[in-house]
Amino acid sequence: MSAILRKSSFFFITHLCTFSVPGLATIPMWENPGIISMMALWVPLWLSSSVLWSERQESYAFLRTLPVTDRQIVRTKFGLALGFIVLYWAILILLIRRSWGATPEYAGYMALASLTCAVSIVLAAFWYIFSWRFGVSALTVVVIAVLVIGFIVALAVNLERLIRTSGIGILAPRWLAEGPWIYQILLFAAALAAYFGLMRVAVRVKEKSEAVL
Amino acid sequence: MTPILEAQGLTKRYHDFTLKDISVEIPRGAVTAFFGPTGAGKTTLMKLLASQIPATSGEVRVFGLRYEERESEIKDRIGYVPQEPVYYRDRSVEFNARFAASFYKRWDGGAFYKMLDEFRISREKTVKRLSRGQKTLLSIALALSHGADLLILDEPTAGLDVILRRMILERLRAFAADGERTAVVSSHITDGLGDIAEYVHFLDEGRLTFRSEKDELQGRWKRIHFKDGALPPDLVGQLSDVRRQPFGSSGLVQDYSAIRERLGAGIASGDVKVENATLDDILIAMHQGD
Repeated sequence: MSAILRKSSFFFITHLCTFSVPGLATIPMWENPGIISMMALWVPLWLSSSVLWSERQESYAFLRTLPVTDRQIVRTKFGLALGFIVLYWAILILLIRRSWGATPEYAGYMALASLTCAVSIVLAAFWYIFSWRFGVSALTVVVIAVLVIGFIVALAVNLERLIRTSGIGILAPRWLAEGPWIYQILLFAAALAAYFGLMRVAVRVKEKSEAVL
Repeated sequence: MTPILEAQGLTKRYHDFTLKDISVEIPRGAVTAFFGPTGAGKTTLMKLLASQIPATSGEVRVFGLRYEERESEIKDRIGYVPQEPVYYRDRSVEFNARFAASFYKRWDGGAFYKMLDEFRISREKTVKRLSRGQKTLLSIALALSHGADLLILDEPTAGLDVILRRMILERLRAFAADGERTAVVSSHITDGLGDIAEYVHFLDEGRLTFRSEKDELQGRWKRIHFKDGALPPDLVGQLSDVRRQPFGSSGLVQDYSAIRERLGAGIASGDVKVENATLDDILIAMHQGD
């Protein structure tokens, strides 16, 4: 399984760099740590593009000839996406903590990061299932459309806030910070439960479908 | 003897084609061939036997094990050569080999690279720059380099020149010569493969129409060459694929033993000659429904 992990990791790492480096690089420029919240909003886009490009470069017909089962492949791919999202979440939390300290803003941004990561992981599972059921060509069309719309929305939201508040990245809604802390754990637990449920669905889809063979 | 591979009621339905209710038992230690015209379902059957696609219904057991329960274990002991091999096309031959090697328990890198040299395939070359024949050779090298007990090959000699084709067939013969290892090969042409196969199956329009030991098959099917008037008309009527030739005619008979006695006088006078029918003759006759 390590060969599949190594091969797919390449896309997650390169896309992670692509999406996070510009955000990190602009922090000193703006002198506003709120930029980190933009990085949180990039998570679903980063994860979607990573899944898309790793699937486009995958050769399931070759894998089928090797002593590896669909179940093992699905678990490896899902494990990889989960591992990277947890890593990214941890990096975000670290950056937010360093930037804001123990302030109400910190709580808000942390909740925002958790929320986007939770949504992203379920989205990644959905993309995998979509790819295995309908093929990578269909996935390409849908994900590219989502990426373009996502970019436009993210930029528009930030631009609007930039004009209105003369700052960038002040994105964390107040209600996220004001809610009881337990809901973040529940949110993550629900996302993980959905993720593992979708993983079981993915195994069945992968075993039955010939869309990527 | 327990068959090395057996399929029961294997069916695969597509919107425009159905492979119907195939049941086969592949004996250990021999080359078994599946022949049939293009579109007969050979590739679908090979894919099903190697668990490359899911069956609509039916079951396959390899080494007595079911894919549903022991897929990794089974695939570790089989080598599958698809009709159109697929790899990581933007990566090198070496990358693909190392990738595959990481999954096998008994990978023999020395044997693999020796075969690559024999096939004149550069290990640095990216797969997308290989010809179709070279991809097949790469696939054969991979299949023969991890200690497989069973090879399943789909049209392995298609697109190869005559020298390479003979080399591959010799390797298959040698592979199964120890009486333990087995090769299952599909082809739409019998050329060469007919010589090394011990068991032959004919597929046509998604059905298994015939199976036999090759020697037994060629013992029954004969081509009769006869001078005009040397055979009674009713006997000529029983022949199929009757052709005019410079010194008379020839035709195929499906059950030679049934007419042998009636040919005695003609054979003695030299007006009738009997020879083994080629597998091509038999295949064509079966396809035409004679």
